[in-house]
Amino acid sequence: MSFKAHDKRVKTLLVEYKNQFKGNAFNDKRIGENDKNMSLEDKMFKRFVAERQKSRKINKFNLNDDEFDNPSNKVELTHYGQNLSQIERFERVQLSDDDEVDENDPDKGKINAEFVSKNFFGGFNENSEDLEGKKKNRKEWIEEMITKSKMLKYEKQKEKDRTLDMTEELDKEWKNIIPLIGKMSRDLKKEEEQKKTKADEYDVLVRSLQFESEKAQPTNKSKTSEEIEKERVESLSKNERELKERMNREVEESLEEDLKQKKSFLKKTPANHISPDDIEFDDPEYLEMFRRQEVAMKNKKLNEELEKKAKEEEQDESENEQTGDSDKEEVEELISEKDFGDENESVQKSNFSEYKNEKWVKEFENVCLKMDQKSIDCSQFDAFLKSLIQKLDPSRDENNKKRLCLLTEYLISYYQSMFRFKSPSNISIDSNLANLLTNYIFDFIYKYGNKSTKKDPSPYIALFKRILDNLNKDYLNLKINERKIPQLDILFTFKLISSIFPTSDFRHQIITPCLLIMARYLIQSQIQNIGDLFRGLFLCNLCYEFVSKSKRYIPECVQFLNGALYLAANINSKNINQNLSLSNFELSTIFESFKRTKLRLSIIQKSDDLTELSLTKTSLDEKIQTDDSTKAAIISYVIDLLTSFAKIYQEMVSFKEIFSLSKKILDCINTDNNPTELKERISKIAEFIDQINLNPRQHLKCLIKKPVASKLHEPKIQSKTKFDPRHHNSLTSEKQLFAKKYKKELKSAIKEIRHDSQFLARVQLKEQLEKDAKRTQKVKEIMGSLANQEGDYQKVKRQKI
Amino acid sequence: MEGGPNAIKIILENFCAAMVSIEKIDQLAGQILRNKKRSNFIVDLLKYASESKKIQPCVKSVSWLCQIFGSYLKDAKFRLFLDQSEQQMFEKNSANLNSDEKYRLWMNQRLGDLKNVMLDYLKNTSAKSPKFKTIKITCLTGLFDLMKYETQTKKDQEIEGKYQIPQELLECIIDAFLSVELDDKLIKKFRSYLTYWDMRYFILKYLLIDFYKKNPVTETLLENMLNIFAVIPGLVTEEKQTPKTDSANDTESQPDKSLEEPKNNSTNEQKLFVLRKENLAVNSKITQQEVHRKLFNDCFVNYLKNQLSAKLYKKLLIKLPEKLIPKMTNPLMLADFLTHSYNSGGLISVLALNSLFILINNYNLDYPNFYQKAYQLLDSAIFHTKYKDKFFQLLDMFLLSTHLSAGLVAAFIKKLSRMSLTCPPGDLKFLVLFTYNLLIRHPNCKILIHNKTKADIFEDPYDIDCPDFRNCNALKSSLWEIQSLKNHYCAYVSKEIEKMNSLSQPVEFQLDDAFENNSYEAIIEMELDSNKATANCALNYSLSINEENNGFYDMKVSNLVKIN
Repeated sequence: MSFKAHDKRVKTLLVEYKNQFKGNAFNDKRIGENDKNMSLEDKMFKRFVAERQKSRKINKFNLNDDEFDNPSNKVELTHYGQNLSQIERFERVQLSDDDEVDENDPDKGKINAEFVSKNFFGGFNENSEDLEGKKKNRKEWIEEMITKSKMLKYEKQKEKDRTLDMTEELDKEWKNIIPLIGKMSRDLKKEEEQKKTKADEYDVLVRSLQFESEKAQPTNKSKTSEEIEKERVESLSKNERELKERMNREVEESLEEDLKQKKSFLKKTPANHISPDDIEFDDPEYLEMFRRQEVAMKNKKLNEELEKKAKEEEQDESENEQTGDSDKEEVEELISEKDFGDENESVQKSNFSEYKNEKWVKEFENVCLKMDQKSIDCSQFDAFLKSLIQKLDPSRDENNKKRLCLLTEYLISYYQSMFRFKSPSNISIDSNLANLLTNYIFDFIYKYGNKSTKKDPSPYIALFKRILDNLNKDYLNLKINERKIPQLDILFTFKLISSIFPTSDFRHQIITPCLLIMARYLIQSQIQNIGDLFRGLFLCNLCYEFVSKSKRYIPECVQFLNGALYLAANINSKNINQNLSLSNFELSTIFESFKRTKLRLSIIQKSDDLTELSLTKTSLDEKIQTDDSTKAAIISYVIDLLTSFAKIYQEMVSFKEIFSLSKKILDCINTDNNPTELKERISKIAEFIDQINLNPRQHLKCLIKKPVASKLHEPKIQSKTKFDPRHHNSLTSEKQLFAKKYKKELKSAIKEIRHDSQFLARVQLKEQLEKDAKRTQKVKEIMGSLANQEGDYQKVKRQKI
Repeated sequence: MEGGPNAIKIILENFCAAMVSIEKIDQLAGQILRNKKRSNFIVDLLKYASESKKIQPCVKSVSWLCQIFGSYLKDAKFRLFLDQSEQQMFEKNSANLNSDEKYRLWMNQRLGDLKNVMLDYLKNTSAKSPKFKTIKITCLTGLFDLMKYETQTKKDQEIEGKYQIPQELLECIIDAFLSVELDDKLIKKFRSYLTYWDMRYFILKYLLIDFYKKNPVTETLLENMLNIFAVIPGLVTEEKQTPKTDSANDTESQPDKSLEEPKNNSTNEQKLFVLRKENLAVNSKITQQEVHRKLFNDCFVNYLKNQLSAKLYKKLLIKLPEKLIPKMTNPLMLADFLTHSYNSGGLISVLALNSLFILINNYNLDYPNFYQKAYQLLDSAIFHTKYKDKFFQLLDMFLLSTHLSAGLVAAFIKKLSRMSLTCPPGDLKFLVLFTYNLLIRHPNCKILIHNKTKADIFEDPYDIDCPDFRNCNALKSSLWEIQSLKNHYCAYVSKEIEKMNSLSQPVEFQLDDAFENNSYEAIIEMELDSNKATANCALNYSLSINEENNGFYDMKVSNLVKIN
């Protein structure tokens, strides 16, 4: 029996044995009692601390808290009657009101003598008795004290409340007065005020300098042109990076930081982005700051401006009347109004109808009309817009923001109307004007429509959404036979969208639906004449522009181009059929509209030149047949588009499958009659497709994850291997090892148990022996005393006898 | 004639000219009903019924006349002639008749007139106005009512298995009814008569053979018959149930229809229209559903022998699986018809697929090259049809079994993925998810997305034009098409494909929601709705037009595309 084992048993088994039939046990909670590492001193200290903490407990339900604390409860150190703890905060301590009166009193802060004589050092008993003549007992006296103190406290509280109320009242009244003062100064005493401001000019300057010195931070040193250039390049590349990021994955909306950065960029780089009205336009925030700095000046200026504006408006009005009188082309005006009404209805279900009847709207319409009649040129139009925008500056009026939005709507509808031709003779498009309008629309959106979050969508974004939504619904309502590729006005709206929004984004609120709408036009429209086909091709061209950067796959475009080629190859007619037989599957991928149409693009007579196609003219062409050179031009347009699509898709794995049909049809286009230029292009693209087709590809391998092991407990690692080389190869060795181990464990367990019981037996024996010893001791004692008794008794007996 | 206040009322209302005739009709009818001697007014009423240009008086007079003749037929003394010969005998001896007999003859003749008027209305094709429908409906009810009255006057209703119903009248009604275009209301009305067991029995019996002999087969006729066949009630059985409880079940399973029917149908009672239950033998054919089903079966098979137009053919194929097949006793008789349609190609094949699958699945039809055909049917044209959703659902069902060979499934997958290159974005979701499911279902096909062989492949081993999926080498290929769709312009498509990249989710996707919102409109709407789509809305950072001088607004077409 080792001591170690014995000790262990004493600690465990013995305790258990002793607590054998006991329901509960005592827990020694004395601090540090069971901690051997703690010295006696530490223990004492900790206990002391604990005791102190206990006594610190504040009585929550004590009404007389803070200043009038019961002195009996709390021992506080004071200096001049003040709490030391308060003094230590180094605040300027307000002493009692009395003290304030006589500041120079040397006895300041002392309790007055009377009180001391009365109450201190046991003096009070006699005095009070003498004075009152009536004996108060201690209890009554204490009660009186308490009521007095409470009264005092209550009064103080009341006083405080009253002052507070009064201050508030005063504040309110002051606020009421403020505008009065302002108004007076503004309206009634203008001249006086002017003088005043003149007189105060110096003050203003000083004050502004003062403010500046407080607010101003060290500015960056003025930049050299190189630095500016560098910054511009940096921000450009940063924007480019962001664009790329957005292209590759979906970026969660409303990244505040992004917006901020963009804003700062807006401020920094007017050089990069020149808008026609930058000089007049200022960032509203900047204006806000400016205004804060010199309110008075600004007020004055504003007044002047308002006056001016009013005058201007008057002038405008008179002008308006004049023009109205002079023109008297009521018919045209009517037409224009009607036009605008229609457009507005189609574009917007406006929520700004309140502003529709304002003067500037009419002016704008008039100018647009003049523009249409070519009575003014582009620069005049530009000038007009500039002045209009100045007038509608949002820093002047909150509602001007909405007005600007409405103006944007008008600009968009005017832009659309540019591509709507009233007479077939006048079908030219003023590209300068288109550029100008695009610029303006972009500017508005860039400045005011930039912030668009889910909760607060920008009205400009909503504007475009509405346009797209209407397109979607209008097309849905058409009968299948009436569905056609839209006219140029809508096509150019897409163009506008593509120049305002980044087309390469992975997912974009405007671009994605826009692409879907375009694709739907391609897939579901009827192709009946040259115009339809050409507009479809133009739409493909737009689609190409949308995806040329992101290289996304638009199956509808390729299919549409295939359809156009199909018309060119004239597969349906019997004479050329021998070269080519499309399989059922390939046929099924060509749109129904191409199979049904009577349009043919096959070139019958040999021609050598390609006509220059006119976008406007060809898109309006409603003939089914046309001359061969136009056909050739259209085919070459198809080929060009196909080539550009093939170029952006050349890295796609299934390039071959995508363009296999195109290749097949290209091969069988009868090129005999084609102009040489077209022939070249056809052979070029065929070569290109062939070349890409030669690229080998690999089988797909998906990212198969490593098998994840099911969770286990930590492995038990044995430092010593119980490896017996004798049984190395036999399968049974392990089993034997386990059997051995088991036997050993069993034995040791039995041994342990035996030791345990021995230990217990020993303890029991010991107890028994102790008990026995006690008993024999007691018996001996009793017997002894009995013997004594007996002896005494015998002695007495003997004496008696 | 009318009592005090009513008379005044009538006088007042007479001021309204439009109302005159109606009031008159009411008056005349009242007089006739009260006094037989005023029966001469019937002629006036008939005139109103046949010649009035307005709808209201027409309807009114027809319904009154039906009522009048109803009450007349109830009178045993003046009952109907048993057959033609009796009437002729009466007519020959017209001089010798007593007044009652004369009256009887006269009334019989007028009844014939009335029937003719009503049948004429039923046959009238010219008027399609909704008002005219009410006349048609009134005439139909009137004719059936008359038939009821006539039957009830005939005493011995079942003599040696022959039922005494006015067969001739019934035939006339059906001929007239089916000869013109029908609308839903009329069919509904007709259907309500078909809920009566006896009517259903007789009508089906008539439609079986005799009908074709009497009538020239026209397009409208066939279409009407198809419509009627589709709505015939009370023929669907559930297995191992007596026909009696079945009729109750039937009404329960179609709650919308049971509303239209009288409620006694639900109390296990077989409704009879003209005949009385007491008069029928216990095992009468009329009360056995099995007999009805057999009749219907034969009727329908006979019907299919007619030449159907393409439009009707499609309609038939659409209605077949749900409305017609369950009513037949032996749907296998359709096998030839369906096989023929299935082989005819195009849309017809797609539509026939559903019924054929039901036959194979539920009726043990042995169809050897079913998958082969289905494989051949699959091409891009399906995306532009109305029935694509149904077709895709069926396709999912065909390929549900895990016991299909990997080669077959791989061929389907490969073809689907090839189709996905020319597929509208709405259907791409289905295609991608379905392909994913197939890969999960048939782990052997995973080689299509995970093939360890390292080799440069120049030509896709898969041959799409090969009609036999066994020889198309699908398993040697890979799903490059799906991979390249990662570049699809519609963002959510590439998102779906991301999932397939690793087959991360080892469970199949639910395909149901792939069929919702798969049109262009729905997707565009979804993308425009900023609450649903979490897309960003960035702007260009500068206007690209500025940089290139005139940019896009250069109207020369040759400058539009710049090929480098």
